[in-house]
Amino acid sequence: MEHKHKRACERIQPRLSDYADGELNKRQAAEVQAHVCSCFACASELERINALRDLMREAAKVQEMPARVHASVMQAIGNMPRTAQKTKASHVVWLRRLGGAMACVGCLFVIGVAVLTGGVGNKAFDAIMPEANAPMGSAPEAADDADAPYVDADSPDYGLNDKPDRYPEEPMDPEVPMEPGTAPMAPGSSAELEQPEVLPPQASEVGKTYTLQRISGESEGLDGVWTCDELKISFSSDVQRVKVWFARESSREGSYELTDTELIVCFEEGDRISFDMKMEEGTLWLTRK
Amino acid sequence: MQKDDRQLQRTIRAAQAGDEQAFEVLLGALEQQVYRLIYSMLRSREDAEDATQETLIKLWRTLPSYRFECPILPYTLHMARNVALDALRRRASRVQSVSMTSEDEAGESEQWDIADPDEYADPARDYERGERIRGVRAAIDELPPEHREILTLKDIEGYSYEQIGQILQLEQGTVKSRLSRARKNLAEILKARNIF
Repeated sequence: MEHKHKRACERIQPRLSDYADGELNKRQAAEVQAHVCSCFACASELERINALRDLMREAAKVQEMPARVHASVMQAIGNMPRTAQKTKASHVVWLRRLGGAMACVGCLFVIGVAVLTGGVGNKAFDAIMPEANAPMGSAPEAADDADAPYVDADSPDYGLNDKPDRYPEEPMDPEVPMEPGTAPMAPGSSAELEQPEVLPPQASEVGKTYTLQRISGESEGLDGVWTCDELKISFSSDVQRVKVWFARESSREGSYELTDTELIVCFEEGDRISFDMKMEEGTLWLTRK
Repeated sequence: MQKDDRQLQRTIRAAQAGDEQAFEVLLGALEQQVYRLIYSMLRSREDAEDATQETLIKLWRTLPSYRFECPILPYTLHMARNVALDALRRRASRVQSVSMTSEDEAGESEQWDIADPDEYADPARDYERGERIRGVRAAIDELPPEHREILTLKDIEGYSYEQIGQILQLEQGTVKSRLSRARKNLAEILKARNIF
């Protein structure tokens, strides 16, 4: 009799959590309930599971979101018409189309060079499209990569189609200056708008090249034409995905997840901008002056 | 229930069309869960507030592309989780950077908001219970983020394994095993402190 009871305990105990979680079907739940009514040990274990959960819920009660967050969000979206988002997205689409067109022209040119010289296209391609300067021309590489995630600029995918993210396990490369404001901008970075800003490759990002160029821009929204500074971001085509994260004092902040090799994103003075590469490749912080 | 679902759908559609009042109603239904999940991962009020704000603004921006393929809550919580993960990565970067220059500053700036002693200073509260709850919070703070996250989703928010699987994009079996490890881990910490 005692042996039979012990076997029942062994069968029921692994299910106690599921029972407490409400994850058992009716038949299984009835079986656990019947056993718990006649078994002091299992009843105690179930009591312990429930008590711990109650304590956790009690501990969580103090973590209510402050009302100011709600107010800030409503204020921010009031100041941020969606038309601005669409305008930015249209830049991306425009660039993608332009990139595609230029890539086609580039391909034709490369093929022509290869045919004329009788050599291999890659060499000619390297010569006319050095990685540091013209990733736009390398768009076909990205397009050919069937595994590369595609994010439509008009409907940025922050949702469930993302691959599961991982937790950062270790701090990133110590050689990269991570604190906002400490990343080295090129000399003259705060100069005139026409002055291109070239960011040297960082130690932790071997093989990655970025070209940042500040240009002035005008965007058309329903609320009229508005002017902003834009940042042209180029990166090598072997980087399949880049997240540009930004924060600004006026509480407008967010991120863009990009798959193109060249984009223009609109920023404001004082924005703190970071490029979140894949985790193992580090994060680069920039502060504009 | 169906009536509620229809009402929620109407609210979402109005918010998708740019109705800020509808979005505010939607926020009322989602924001606390978003905040609690993010807080469980970041354990800092300031960071949690920032990340919650970022998530909710992102929700406003991306709502037009929401296609009702999954319920709005898991959709939003998944987004919140990604924002929190980004924040954790940035924090990891900052810790590394600052520790290179000044260890004291790093320790000070990145110290987690473990427990506010004043939170339980309400005399109406039972002192012993307050102490116990504070102990539980401190123990939760010791857990790795993925354990805090899953305990929050299950034991505090009460989501099903299926819903948690949607949020974390995990198989239900993985949800179950991770949850089991998280509870065991928490129980061991509490036992070591004679709290439970």
